[in-house]
Amino acid sequence: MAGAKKSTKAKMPDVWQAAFYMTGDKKLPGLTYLTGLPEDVRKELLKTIAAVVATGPPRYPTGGPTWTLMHKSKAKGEVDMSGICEAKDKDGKLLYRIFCVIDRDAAEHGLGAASLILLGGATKKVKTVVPQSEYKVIDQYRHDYRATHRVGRLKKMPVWWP
Amino acid sequence: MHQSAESAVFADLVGSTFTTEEERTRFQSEVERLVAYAELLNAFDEARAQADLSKAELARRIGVKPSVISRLLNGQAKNVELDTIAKLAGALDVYVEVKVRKQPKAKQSKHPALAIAA
Repeated sequence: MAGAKKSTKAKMPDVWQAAFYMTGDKKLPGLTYLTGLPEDVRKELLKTIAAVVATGPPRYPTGGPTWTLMHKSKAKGEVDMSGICEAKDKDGKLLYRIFCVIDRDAAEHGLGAASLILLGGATKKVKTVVPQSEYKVIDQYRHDYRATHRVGRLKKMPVWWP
Repeated sequence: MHQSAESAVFADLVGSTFTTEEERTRFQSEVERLVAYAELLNAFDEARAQADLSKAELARRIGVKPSVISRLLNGQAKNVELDTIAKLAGALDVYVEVKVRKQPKAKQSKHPALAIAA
């Protein structure tokens, strides 16, 4: 066995949070998507997101049935979704996706901690693809967040939150 | 989760989705179980990297196809057998400690029903 190696990776922030991207007209597409879902689906997606945040998003295993890091499409002209993560759930013949970006440096531009930013979502039938027009909107949200760091805020944490 | 004005929006959504104390306790417990599983996989992958072993070599050492190791370490495999975990640990020269303890009395437990430390 080889000797211990020093990690060359940048230190991961210890504390993370989930936050919702906010559009210029003060809408939270990620929140709107989640609140419109069937309750059982919303519950599963919230559990996944909470687990990803608690583990630290860069450390959560990707490629599984519930959390994936998207890659650049090989097809010409398609939206480049690389760098976006998706929390996933399936209910019958429908697949549900909530798209997120990881912002390690969120604390440096006014957020409380390193953040998993929930951008928006999409629902599709099994064996179909999300339309490029929907990916394009998510990609625009990503770029707008990177430019503005605009997120939704509430004054108080719920009393029950651990 | 860090507590802030931003994360309060997420916490509020969780609170309006899991409305009873029982549901919230189950939510926390399931999240902790997912975190424990993710940390176990990370611990194995870090031990593999420390040992300078490729996934293919690790697979060869425990007698499975490389795709089995890839699926396992990236979270695709569900219900991993204890035997596979023991073989992985052996091949990586680490051990996995599983402790059976009573749940703490407080409902807001930090301990999931399944917590595995590697």
